Amino acid sequence: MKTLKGIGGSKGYAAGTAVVKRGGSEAPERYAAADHAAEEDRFKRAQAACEAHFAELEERAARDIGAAEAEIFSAYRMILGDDAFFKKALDRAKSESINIEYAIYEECRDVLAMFESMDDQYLRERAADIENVCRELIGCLSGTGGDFAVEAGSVNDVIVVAEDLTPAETVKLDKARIRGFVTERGGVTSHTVILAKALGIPALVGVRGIIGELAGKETLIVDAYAGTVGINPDAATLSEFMENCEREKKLQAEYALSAGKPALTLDGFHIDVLVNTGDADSIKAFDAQKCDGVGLFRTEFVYMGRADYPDEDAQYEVYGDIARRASGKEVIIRTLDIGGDKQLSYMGIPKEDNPFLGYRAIRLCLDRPEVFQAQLRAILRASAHGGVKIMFPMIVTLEELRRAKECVERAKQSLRGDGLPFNEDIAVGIMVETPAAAFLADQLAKEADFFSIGSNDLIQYVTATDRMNERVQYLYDSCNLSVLRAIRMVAASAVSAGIPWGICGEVASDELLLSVWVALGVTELSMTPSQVGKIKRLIGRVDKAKITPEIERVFEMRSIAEVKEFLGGLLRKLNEAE
Amino acid sequence: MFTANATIKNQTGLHARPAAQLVALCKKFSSNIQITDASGKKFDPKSIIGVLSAGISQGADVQVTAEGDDENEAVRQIVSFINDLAE
Repeated sequence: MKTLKGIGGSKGYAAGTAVVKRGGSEAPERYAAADHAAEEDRFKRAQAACEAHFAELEERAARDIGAAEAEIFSAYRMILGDDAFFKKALDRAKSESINIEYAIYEECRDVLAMFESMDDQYLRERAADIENVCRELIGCLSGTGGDFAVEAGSVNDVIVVAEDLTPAETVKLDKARIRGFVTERGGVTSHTVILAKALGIPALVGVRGIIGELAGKETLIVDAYAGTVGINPDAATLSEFMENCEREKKLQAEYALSAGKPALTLDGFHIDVLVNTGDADSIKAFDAQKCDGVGLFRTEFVYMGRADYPDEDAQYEVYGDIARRASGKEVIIRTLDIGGDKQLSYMGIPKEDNPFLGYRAIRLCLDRPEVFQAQLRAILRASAHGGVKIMFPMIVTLEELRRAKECVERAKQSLRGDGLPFNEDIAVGIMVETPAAAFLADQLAKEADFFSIGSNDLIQYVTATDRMNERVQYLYDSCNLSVLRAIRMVAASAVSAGIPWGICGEVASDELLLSVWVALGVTELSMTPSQVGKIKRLIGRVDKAKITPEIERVFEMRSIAEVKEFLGGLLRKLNEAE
Repeated sequence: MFTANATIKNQTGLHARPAAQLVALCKKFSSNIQITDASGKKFDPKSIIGVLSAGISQGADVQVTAEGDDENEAVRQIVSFINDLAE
């Protein structure tokens, strides 16, 4: 079996028959066309045919795939109706006395060259739209292209193989038959990948040379986790692959089922599993039915890509929206966590040698009261719409927490004066991400309403390891003994003060460490949405009372390897249990 | 001929929806309309491809020029559309 490598853009396994889409990007024939009126007429008819075609695809996409997919075709129709652009093509056909499809091809190339020099991702994608529209139009004029969808419709269990696919091509495919996509071009954000994710099937991109290897109708096995595609596997390989597929499918179904249900340990201890969010895409995708709320709402994006600070109303709109959409579930909004590493020109923060130890996060907010007030008022106003909580990042001293809480009081006071509603009892907690906060956890727990451990920074600060520096990466380890001890200390302080504590860094969704967090009495874990189901399912397999004394042994261990081996054994047992 | 200046203040610039809205607005007028950016580059705002390929981003100062029967109204509406962009 020949195996080729690519990048798994949409995860999963798939087996099926290869249907190959060839060509599409080469130039149309150029020939002399003296009768320009005839060319103009051909163009008008082709334009009208494409318009009808796109309108139909828009409708079909809205019905079969979703609004976002349908919007692409609405943009296509706008491009198709760009008379100024097509007039240039018609003028060129006339002055050179050539066929209109070749003139369109040339005009399109000129426009694409203009877009190529832009470093704006959005605009480069629009260039692809223009190219796709012109290609459809040329195909319509020259009567080429189009039997690929028909071919794909005649085979069951199709693996579509192509250089890359345009939205017009993908929407025509019979989705019920497709098991996966393999493309030579395209990155992990390509259109094919987005479609594959929406359909819940795997897509492998960047598989160079695959088209040349195929004649069509070969059996392919796609493993988008490993990023491989195998051509014509033997019977034994195929059946082993199919077994893996089945197991994976079953697991995914269990995860999906778990995500919407409360996570309870075997002995009935409840743990909230929430999501981290804070960028336009993930906010749009947020689904309160598939998690227990938002455990970390990052607010930096509200401040980015702007010429000046966002005002209170603009922020309120964003925070209020997520609060409403969480429909009563918890939403922890973290106040601005920005510093010298993420420069925003209008903030005027001088470049620092050590931005992670510098003027950032709560330090900056306490120093710029008017900026902080605008955000706190916006968060407070959002609390009238749902379970909003406030969280301060980078707390080092108790004095900082007190000052920040005074700022919240001031914001409340001014809102009362303005007669604007908010939750008077809003919970105010802190991120525990500095060693200073961990050492002071017992005192901080008396004045904070909750703790959320920001493990990414905590590991970095405890181990004095820059996580971006390749050469010291080996020290940045979530099982570092000192990190685990720091977390235990924080957990113990929270438990004895009777406040909730959670984790919102990557270790929250680390299966290996889940038993440790449960044993330490974690009340919430917040993570990227794709991990929620997996972790909830695993929580349902842990017996807290039984595991707690076992986990104590971790804190007597003397090496990371020893901890990992021990936790690995526990995890295997959890996964094997029925 | 009638000319006025405007500044793009919104985050995304003349992208996506704002670009499409601008084209739709300009197409309502019979006048010839032209937009010129600070570097002197001109584009036809009735052409979506023209607008997008101009790559106008946040903070850009532009000049709107119209010539024709409805030139005053065209410039007035286009300038206020651009100045009010918030998306």
